[in-house]
Amino acid sequence: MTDTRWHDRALWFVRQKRDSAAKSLPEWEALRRSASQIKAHTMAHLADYLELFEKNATQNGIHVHWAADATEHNRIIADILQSRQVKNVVKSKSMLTEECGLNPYLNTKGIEVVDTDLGERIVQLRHEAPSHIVLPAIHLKKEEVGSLFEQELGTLPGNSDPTYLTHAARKHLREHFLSADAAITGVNFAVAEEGLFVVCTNEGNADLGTAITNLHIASMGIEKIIPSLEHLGIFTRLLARSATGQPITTYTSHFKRPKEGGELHIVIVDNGRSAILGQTDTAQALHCIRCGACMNTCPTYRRSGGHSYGYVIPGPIGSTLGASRNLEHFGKAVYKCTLCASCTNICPARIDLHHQLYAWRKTYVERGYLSPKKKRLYGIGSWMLRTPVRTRILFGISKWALKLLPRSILYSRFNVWGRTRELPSFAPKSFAQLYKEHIHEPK
Amino acid sequence: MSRNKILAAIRNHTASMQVAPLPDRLEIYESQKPDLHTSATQFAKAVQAAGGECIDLSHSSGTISGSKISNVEDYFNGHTPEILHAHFAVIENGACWIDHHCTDDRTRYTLPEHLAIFVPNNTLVPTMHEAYAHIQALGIEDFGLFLSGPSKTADIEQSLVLGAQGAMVTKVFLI
Amino acid sequence: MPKPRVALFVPCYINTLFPHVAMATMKLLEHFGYEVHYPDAQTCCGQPFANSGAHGDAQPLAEHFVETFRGYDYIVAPSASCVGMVRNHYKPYVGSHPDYRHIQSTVYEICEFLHDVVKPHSFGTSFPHTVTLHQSCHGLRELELGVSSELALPFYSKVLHLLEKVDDITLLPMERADECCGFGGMFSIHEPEISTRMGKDKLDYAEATQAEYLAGFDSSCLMHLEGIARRENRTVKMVHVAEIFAGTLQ
Repeated sequence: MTDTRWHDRALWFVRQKRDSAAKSLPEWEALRRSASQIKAHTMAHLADYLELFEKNATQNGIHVHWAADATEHNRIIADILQSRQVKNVVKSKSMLTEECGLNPYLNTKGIEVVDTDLGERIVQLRHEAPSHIVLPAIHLKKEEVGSLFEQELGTLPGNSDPTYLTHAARKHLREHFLSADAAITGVNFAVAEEGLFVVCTNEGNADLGTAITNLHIASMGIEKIIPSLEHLGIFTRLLARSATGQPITTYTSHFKRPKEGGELHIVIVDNGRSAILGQTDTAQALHCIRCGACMNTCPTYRRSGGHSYGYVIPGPIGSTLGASRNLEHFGKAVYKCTLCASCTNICPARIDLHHQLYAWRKTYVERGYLSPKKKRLYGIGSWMLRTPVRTRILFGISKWALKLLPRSILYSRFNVWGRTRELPSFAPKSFAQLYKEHIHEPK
Repeated sequence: MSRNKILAAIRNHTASMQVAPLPDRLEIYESQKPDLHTSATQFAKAVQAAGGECIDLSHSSGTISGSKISNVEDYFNGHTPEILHAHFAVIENGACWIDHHCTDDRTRYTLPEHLAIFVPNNTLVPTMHEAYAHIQALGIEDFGLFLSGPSKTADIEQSLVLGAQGAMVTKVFLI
Repeated sequence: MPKPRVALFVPCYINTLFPHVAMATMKLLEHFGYEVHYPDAQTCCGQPFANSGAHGDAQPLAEHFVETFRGYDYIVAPSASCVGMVRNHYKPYVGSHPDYRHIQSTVYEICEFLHDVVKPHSFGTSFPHTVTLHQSCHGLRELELGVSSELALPFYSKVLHLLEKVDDITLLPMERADECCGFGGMFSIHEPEISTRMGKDKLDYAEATQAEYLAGFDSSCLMHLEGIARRENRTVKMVHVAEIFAGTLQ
């Protein structure tokens, strides 16, 4: 992503909208505390709540399926679709289905999947992954969307007006909706006591798809459970404000029973989540309500973009979740962070995000994933700094190197700092020396 | 069987977790009782912020009879809107609660370009806390949704566009 | 009544690169009536190693710290991140050491020490310049030197509160005052492009205020910003707030 400045400004704007919305509620911090408590309680009793949800949902006529991992999730959904001869599916936003790689799997079974969220459709047409969990195409400028639509949708060349392009997409997606046989959605919240689940969108694509077709399959991570209806009051007040600065999403849809003549399925997915429950330092990552605020506030994410993180979910929450999934493969992302703690302060569920990244770094080193070069460097540094004499030697050597080495050597390509910054200068006397002179000064 | 495997794995990990209590009841949130004089105005502001428009017909007579507004097309530049009856609406966010009592056909609030939502004036509640208490009392049959303004997106360079997939024009009538 | 004994905790890089900041801190403490000691056995708090996950390398440094700094009424440092390390992250290393509890409850960053313990009415110093303040992350969010902009709470800043007591100073607010400057310790070397980008943006926001000085309470941030500013020949000058309070800026 070359224009990081523009990306940074765009996401800072979203952060500011979130700030206005949050600060308009005197009870905002109390809501965050409640959300955190509800999630902690629910996780501690997760199995009971999942069983309660299953019981109530089943009573409501919802088919409840359980998938231990991504493969099983994909297989279950494919089986449901194939047994009903479904060829065309419309899907609303679900990071879980991204995580499981559902689309490519269904394609191998001859089932076409159209992602109907505008941002998701854009990245789908570009054959790339979303770069943000709420704003999938935030890394693209309107001109890029314009030329994509010119190619794929036949829009007017050179026209990059967002309204024109959005309405062109509306027409294009309507055709897919009307010819779809089934709709797949994600789940924002699943209410155990009611056996119902909630899907939040601004576009209404989840509602369109499920209204038009008679087969609705919802994908849900085990952590999406909340105990009762009243808790939705807290979460719906936090979610959209945190995500985009709106007091609520346009559509907040509660699915309880299948339509007349329709089928409603829900696939409850583990795929590594139960393992996270067992990770004392990082279990709170399961409290995430997928608002994306941590990405918007992260100064590193804003200047590098979602594709640079290497995991299906980017930013602070993505880094800790990716580390949970596979530390060796995805763990480098936990270093892509200054530990500034802005994410921890913004998270509506009060997840201790930066503490989790700090904790993962410890595990990363313990498991031996640190490069041998870094390991040696830290070992030497630590050894030298263990005694005052060696510390003085270390800084003494550095001081004379800085003084004596010519600039061409000092600022060679090995000096990473020096690529863009001047090195600091050593003071003629250290504080230790000045202090000695000070205490011997006549008063 | 995966179900049992998953539940066993969860129980294995949560066995040693601290027993965390649920937070105290929601009375801690000081939601003011809606002032009938200002609640309609606040609600209208919220609907507008959500890209819609709110028309307060609660004090006018003659234009409303039963479930009809006699000249509703006038509000939609001549287009005939789909009419939906909401149970109640929420002041803080302009959202209207629509459920199976209103319609069994969910395409009615998703396909049409123009939506007219009727909300009884004396049913406005301040926040989602009161809204869900109300829904708990009403019960949900097979579905229910909060609808706030027209369909929208800002997915292209953060420019807000109304009418992304669903309704392009949504007007709420307080009756 | 004997004067309280304060141990000056001078981070290794301040000792050699920015001794004037430590001098200012010492002068402040003496001015307010403390008996200042400098335990010269001190080396490094271990933060760079801990932040990299190399806790085995941080362990001996934490042990050495506790041995060096035991037995004082207070420990004061002109560095929020180092104090944060000792206060919030030392438990795994030295939690069971008999002296740790006292150290944990008496280690202070200089601004929080002035604000919470000394509570001066004035500094008796003048700084007739325009200043904009960078709110360093560790101090702001870990030590709660103020209310960070993410929180829906009334704004407060201990450091601004203190700066307002300096005569003749003009404080100018900066956009994104509490956004990270990009140093982040080893981050500055491992992600140099992003680190530099963040530093440049911080300097741009500072320059937009037209303040003569960009003040901070963490020399690591200032070192990184100064490195960029000097390379780019920017005119804004970096200063540690301790030097403003102490009136020792040359």
